[in-house]
Amino acid sequence: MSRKHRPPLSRPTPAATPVSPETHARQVLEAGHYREAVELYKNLLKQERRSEWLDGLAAGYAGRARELANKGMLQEALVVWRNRSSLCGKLLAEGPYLDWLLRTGAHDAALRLLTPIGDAAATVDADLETRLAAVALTAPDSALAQLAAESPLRRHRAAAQAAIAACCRADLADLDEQLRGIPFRSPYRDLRFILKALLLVGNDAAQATGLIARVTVDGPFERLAAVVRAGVLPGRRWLLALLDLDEESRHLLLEIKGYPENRRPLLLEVAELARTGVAPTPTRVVDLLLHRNRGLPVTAARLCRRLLPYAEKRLAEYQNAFGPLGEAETACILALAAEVRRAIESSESHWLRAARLFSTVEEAPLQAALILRHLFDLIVGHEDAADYDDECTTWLKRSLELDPDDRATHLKLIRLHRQGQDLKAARASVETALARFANDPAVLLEAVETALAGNAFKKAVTLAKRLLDLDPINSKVRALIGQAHLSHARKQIRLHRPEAAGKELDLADEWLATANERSVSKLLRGLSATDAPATVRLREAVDELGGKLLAAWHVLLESIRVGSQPAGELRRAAPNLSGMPVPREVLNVMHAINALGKNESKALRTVLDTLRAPLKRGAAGDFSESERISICETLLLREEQGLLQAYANAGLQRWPERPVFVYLATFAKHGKGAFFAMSERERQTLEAALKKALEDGDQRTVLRIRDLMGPPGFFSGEDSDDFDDDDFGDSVDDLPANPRDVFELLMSMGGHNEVIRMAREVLPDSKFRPLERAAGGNRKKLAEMLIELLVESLANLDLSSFLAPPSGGSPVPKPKPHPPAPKQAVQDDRQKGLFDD
Amino acid sequence: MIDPYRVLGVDLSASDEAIRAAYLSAIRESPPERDRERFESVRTAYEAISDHRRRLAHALFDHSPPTIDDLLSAVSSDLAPQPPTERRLLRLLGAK
Repeated sequence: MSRKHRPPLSRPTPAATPVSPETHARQVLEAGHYREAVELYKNLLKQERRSEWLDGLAAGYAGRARELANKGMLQEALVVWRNRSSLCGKLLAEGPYLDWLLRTGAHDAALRLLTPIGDAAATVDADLETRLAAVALTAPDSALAQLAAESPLRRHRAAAQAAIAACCRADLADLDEQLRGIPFRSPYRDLRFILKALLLVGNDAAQATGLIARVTVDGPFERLAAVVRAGVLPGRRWLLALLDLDEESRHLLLEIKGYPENRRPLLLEVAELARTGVAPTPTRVVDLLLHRNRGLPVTAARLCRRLLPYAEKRLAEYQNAFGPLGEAETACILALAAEVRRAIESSESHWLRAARLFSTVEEAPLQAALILRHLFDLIVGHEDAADYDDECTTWLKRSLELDPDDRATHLKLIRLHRQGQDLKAARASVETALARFANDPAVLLEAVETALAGNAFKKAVTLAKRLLDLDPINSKVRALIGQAHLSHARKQIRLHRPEAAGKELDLADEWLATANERSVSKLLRGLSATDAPATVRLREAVDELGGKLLAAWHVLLESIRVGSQPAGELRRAAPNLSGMPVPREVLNVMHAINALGKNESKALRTVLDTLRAPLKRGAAGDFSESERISICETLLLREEQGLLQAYANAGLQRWPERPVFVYLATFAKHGKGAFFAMSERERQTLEAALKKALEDGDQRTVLRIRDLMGPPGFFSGEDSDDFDDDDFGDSVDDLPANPRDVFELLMSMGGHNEVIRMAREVLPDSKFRPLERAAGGNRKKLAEMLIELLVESLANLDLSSFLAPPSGGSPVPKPKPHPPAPKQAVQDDRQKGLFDD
Repeated sequence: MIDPYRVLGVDLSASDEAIRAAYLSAIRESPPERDRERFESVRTAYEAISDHRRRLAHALFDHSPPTIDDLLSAVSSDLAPQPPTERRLLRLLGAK
């Protein structure tokens, strides 16, 4: 130790505050200047050997020794501690002395602390013995020889060492035998639990946990106990505990867990990843596994393979590390990688390649089938099955050729064909499915519905009865049979076969469950002939159906269905359509409209031509808010602008604060072209409604109002979420009044694709397709041509009447803009269940 | 998704019956009222690999991001617990 820079031993105290030497020594000691304190107390002790000064000197030595130990100068610390003992009469073994001895490897000296000296033999410190137990185990025999023969450290040492040897041989029987030789009060007692727990860490962590719980923390074998405590932790927690151990303990833990030497660095890296507390990124894991791939098990290769779609550039490296991948498997990885990048077209081509490759291998047709189904779901999606082309259905068909046992795909294909109005293909799919699943209720149900869709009523009934044999309480099938007979009866009436129709209606009556359905059956009997008894039946049916609006609805609809003259039949049935219909009647008619298939929209329009007037009168009825919203949504869905306006305006009068009525009334008045047609006043009202809807958290109305306030297609779809309220307000304020400028602004904001998308939405195919062909694939050119066409179309519509007049007066929209395509039913809780079938 | 084979404690070649047995055992151990999270993960795992077709689909399309447990399990699957070596154990006891 250098003494060159030793500070002065005493420091001058200020003359103004003279203190006694004793006080000065205490102050210096308390200030932590131990070397100076030692000198001061030594000087004091030269005058007189007072006990408090001896204690001060001892405290000075202790402080100085700890200072040195903290600097790693353990030998010097030991010397100072020995001075403390010899000069101050303190016990050598107290305090940190033993620890320092052990840390310097002075096991002999440590054990000498237990050497009996005179009378002290009788009072050997049991605690010191315990602390020295680990030392005694590893110290040479010669060092132990200095201990008294009866010392437990000597007497039980052989058993403890034999137990350790048995543990390291995993010889449980011998371990138990040897541990029995270590008494409960032995300094080695903790070994009885630790060694057994050590062997159980990997096999029975619960038992090991129980054993290690009986070992006190900071015992003589604490380092070993800490390894066991870390090893029994579940899941990733042991990894975190691993990092808290010292180097030697980590190696022991990894050793008993079974990790070979070359995998330990990888484990430590995994532990470091676990310590971050966040899930590792796939690329990080791939890097880690590829970097440390030597000797890894097949599961590691499998994990790495699973994550390759996130790291496709490492494909070659993967194959170098873990072996080659097949061509088809590589195609799968590339397809998934493209999916991850959302490059759907690229993904499609890779999947198709993979399917082709799998199809050629005899044992992998199932993989190819699964890939084709996955591809269908990827391209068409699960929810909106409307957006697909023939190629997509080809994938499903091919998948069934490769794997004909997948019932779900059979059902999906049947439904797709039926929804696409391709009944021939649907029937073929039904036949294929029935050939394989002849008695499957789900397949039979699809067969029934397909037969019904193709007006094959007899076949539908036959299939439905087969289904009822399997599932006798299936109410849906019973209803379907009744409806099939009714439909067949309509067909017979249309063909002027009243007797055959009567037989079908007799059969229908056996299956129809509700009074309303039976009344419709009776109504059809009335329509099947024109004689007096038929008219009586017709009027009975009308009475059963309430005799008013709902009855008129059914008379008109059924007369259209059976090919009669609706007006004439209505006169014959003579329902009472005068006066204002009660709300319940209007709601029943709305219910009936909702139940009507979309393929009957022409019939609906014909029926409503007659019923519009009474329905309009009904708008003044006393509906609840939710009832009125439901009626409006039905009318909106069916594009009944006039009726919608009546009901929405009445709703707006009754609930002026409800944004949904503001929206409905504005839409009813202007349709989708409201952006061009709204007056300034209406725009302000709509903006206020938008603000209120935002406050109410009514997201659906918010989106609908935003959609209405922009140019057609401007805010439609998910993109509307990209605009915040402020942006929205500004954009509307700043939009130019000239349509050409609006479109060009749109093009500058959203690019030519946005213009094409918008135009595609508002233009019919007959207008759009020729321009598309003329553009020859040049999207920009197509956008410009579409702008020209749109501007020209708007000019033909006398746009000036749609734009707000300078005075702010209400514009008079001459031709009504086309209403939006029917969208999904409104998500308003208050309507829930109102029109449920 | 967490590796369903690891969740159910079955290997890749396990049969439908073995997987179902592992599933039933796991949900008996962790019924929903006791450990909802574990129950859900067991059920999800079973749904992913309950039959041959699903297992194939899982192998083809699964690219779920990894968890630390996945990684730990992947690099530890071939290990068997070992007794400590005496030299290392004594070194640990003797060193301070």
